Amino acid sequence: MTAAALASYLLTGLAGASSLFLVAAGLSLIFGVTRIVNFAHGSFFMLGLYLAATLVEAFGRTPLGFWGGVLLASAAVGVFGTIVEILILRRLYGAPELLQLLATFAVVLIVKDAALWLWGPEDVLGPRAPGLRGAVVIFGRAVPEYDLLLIALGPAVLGALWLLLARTRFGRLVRAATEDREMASALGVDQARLFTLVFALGSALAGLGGALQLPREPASLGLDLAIVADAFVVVVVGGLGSLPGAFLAALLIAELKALCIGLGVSKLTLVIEFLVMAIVLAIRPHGLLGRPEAAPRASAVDADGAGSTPPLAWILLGAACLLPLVLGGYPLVLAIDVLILALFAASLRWLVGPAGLVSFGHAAFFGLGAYAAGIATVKLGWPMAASLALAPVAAGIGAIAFSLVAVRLSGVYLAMLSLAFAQIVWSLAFQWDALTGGSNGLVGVWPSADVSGKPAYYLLTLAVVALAWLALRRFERGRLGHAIRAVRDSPLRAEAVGLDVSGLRRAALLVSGALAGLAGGLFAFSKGSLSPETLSIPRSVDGLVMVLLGGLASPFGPILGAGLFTWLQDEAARRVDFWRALVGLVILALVFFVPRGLAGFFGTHRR
Amino acid sequence: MTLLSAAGLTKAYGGVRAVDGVDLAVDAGQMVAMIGPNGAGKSTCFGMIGGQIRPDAGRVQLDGVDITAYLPKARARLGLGRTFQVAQVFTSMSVGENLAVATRGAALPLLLDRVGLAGAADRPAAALAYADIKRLELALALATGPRLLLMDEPTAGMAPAERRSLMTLIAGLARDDGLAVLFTEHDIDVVFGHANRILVLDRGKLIAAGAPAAIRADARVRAVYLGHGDGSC
Repeated sequence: MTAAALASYLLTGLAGASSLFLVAAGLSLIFGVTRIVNFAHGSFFMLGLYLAATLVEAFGRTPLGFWGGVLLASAAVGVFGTIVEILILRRLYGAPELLQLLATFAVVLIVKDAALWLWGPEDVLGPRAPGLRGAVVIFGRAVPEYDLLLIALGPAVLGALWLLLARTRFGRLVRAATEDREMASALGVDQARLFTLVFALGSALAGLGGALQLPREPASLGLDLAIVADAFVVVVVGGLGSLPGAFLAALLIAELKALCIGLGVSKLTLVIEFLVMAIVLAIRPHGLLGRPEAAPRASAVDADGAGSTPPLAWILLGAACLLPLVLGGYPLVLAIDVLILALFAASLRWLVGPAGLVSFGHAAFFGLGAYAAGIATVKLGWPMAASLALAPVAAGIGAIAFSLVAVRLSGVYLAMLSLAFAQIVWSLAFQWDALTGGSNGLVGVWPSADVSGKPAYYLLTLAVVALAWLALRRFERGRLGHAIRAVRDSPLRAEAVGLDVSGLRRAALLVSGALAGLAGGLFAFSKGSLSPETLSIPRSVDGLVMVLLGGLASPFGPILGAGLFTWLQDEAARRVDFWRALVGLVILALVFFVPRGLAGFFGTHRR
Repeated sequence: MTLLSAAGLTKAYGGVRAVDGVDLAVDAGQMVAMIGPNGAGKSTCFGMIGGQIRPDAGRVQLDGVDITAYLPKARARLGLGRTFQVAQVFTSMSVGENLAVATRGAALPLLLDRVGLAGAADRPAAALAYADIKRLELALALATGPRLLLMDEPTAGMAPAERRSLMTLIAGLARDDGLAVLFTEHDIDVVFGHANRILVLDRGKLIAAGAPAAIRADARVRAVYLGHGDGSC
């Protein structure tokens, strides 16, 4: 590559960095002040892009129409963000992180279906910017004028935000709240108003980032999660709450991505983000310019469901064995789904509850297991038993890889990192055609002949899931399980009595990942085919909803949650077009009205 | 016999030297108090000895082994136990489960009896009164069989009678088991009633060290610390 070509790729990278920064800046501001990680931030971006496309079309493709449309779209998203803050988030500032994250994810689901309803499933293509349609030849290559504008805009917005924070009363309040929330409230700052304003500003920035992408990419329904994963990486690498950090990280990541494309290794762009994040966090756990997090908020303390396995469990198991006698066809297929999801949810409950590690990307391990089993069967011709055994191993290896970066983090950092990890694993499944079949997925993952009938496969699944569940329960109540819970309760004390905090967190992740992988393996053979959907972010969230539905406190919660969730989703998908939005509403209802879960409701655990 | 020694301990936060070249030593069987006004650098000093804070300069030795670069868990295994200013216990577990995590099969009833929690093994930690949480934390610190005990404000938040009984208990551990104890304390009565030696810190620097009587007579100490009032600060 010549120096000129290199320079032109770097220019492209700069333009990418600007749009990345706009999204990340809003996320970082909101987190800094409210301590809420806003999953809906990518949705705000997506909304900005859709709105801009519609508005510019309505205003006419003149410079005034274009820029008017872009700014109005940004403002509209700001207003929408304000509404979300007032209606939903304001009630959750004191709630556990998991509930906050789930609530913002509910917004993601609702916005997605709203966009589907308003704009339809097809991508919406925007016009190019009037007056900036041309290209300028720099270093012998054509660089779009619009890119040059974006390159200038990133630093300009950073400068404007800096002025706002440094010179205005609002800015001083924002900085005070970011640095010391209690102090700020003690000084008589009207928190509610400040939070709303910051949320409005942050949302408007995300909307602006989206609207400005109008000439560069079409509006599509998948943008929300793709963008929020990118923004998470930028914010974590830059340091949560630090705007200059976010700018620096956006620059670093966008340039490295541009370089990968320039060098002809575009596949590498998928993992480069994760590599950057891994290296930065290994050296600076709080990001490039971030500062150590205050002590993590106490997690929801729960009982461990000690005591022997109640007779009810054995009765249920007996009944479950007899189920194929009365159920057949579709209901039995659903029953298999419930069992598999119960194991998935149980592995997640163990991680989020007793181990205290919030994961928003648990589907990555489920998918690693499913794909490992699928690839071993289809591509390597392994027998089913061997493929199924490979599933937890592959997912366990994935969990260890993830833990290398993750064990030093906690709370929201970990949640964001897990989402980014899942997004990367998803991209691999989506784009590595030769191995995973890409977007078409894998077909022909059939179980061996002796369990190919639904009743037989059901019984196999029941046996595997019951054993795994019992093993997890034993582990949780054993010496290692207690040590892991001790690390959750007080990392300081755990270290001071000589426990290996990082090692125990790694063990917790390994156990959880391997069991999720086992569930994934069972899933692969139950469906016969796999697609990247298997490990998409919504599946991670499904898992969390099941856990929340059942309640964190009881090991029986996941079983109850998986059953209820599968039934609800099946009913909703059959009766309602916009079932995603419905799931979003159900999540909000859970978060507001039954935050301790249904198992807590029925009192199947002590305390 | 010197069990803990630190030399030239220094830590700065953004240009402010929280701890500046502190030297100290604690012998086995000795109770040493570290006192000083708020912000003198006591907790930072403790953090550097306990391994929670990495010093900018200086060395820490435990029984002749240089532990400056050791993580807290490695220090624990070498015989360093500690309690924190805000008591740290495993709140989701019972008292017995707490100790089972910390010990490797040591005699549980004996430990509970020692700290005055006999018969409380099955009580949930979350249901304990704060004084009992402090006792549980002490039991957790003792469960690993330490030779040196670091106690950051061991009696904070306790009623006077409870303070005396806890400190008597700790003094007994030092005397009978040869445990070395280094503690910070705001309550001057507790300090002068129990310490064999006192270290006085002011603005990050060690300004005096010696027996209680000598410290009481030290003009500089009276000026910067005791002179503030009646000694209850």
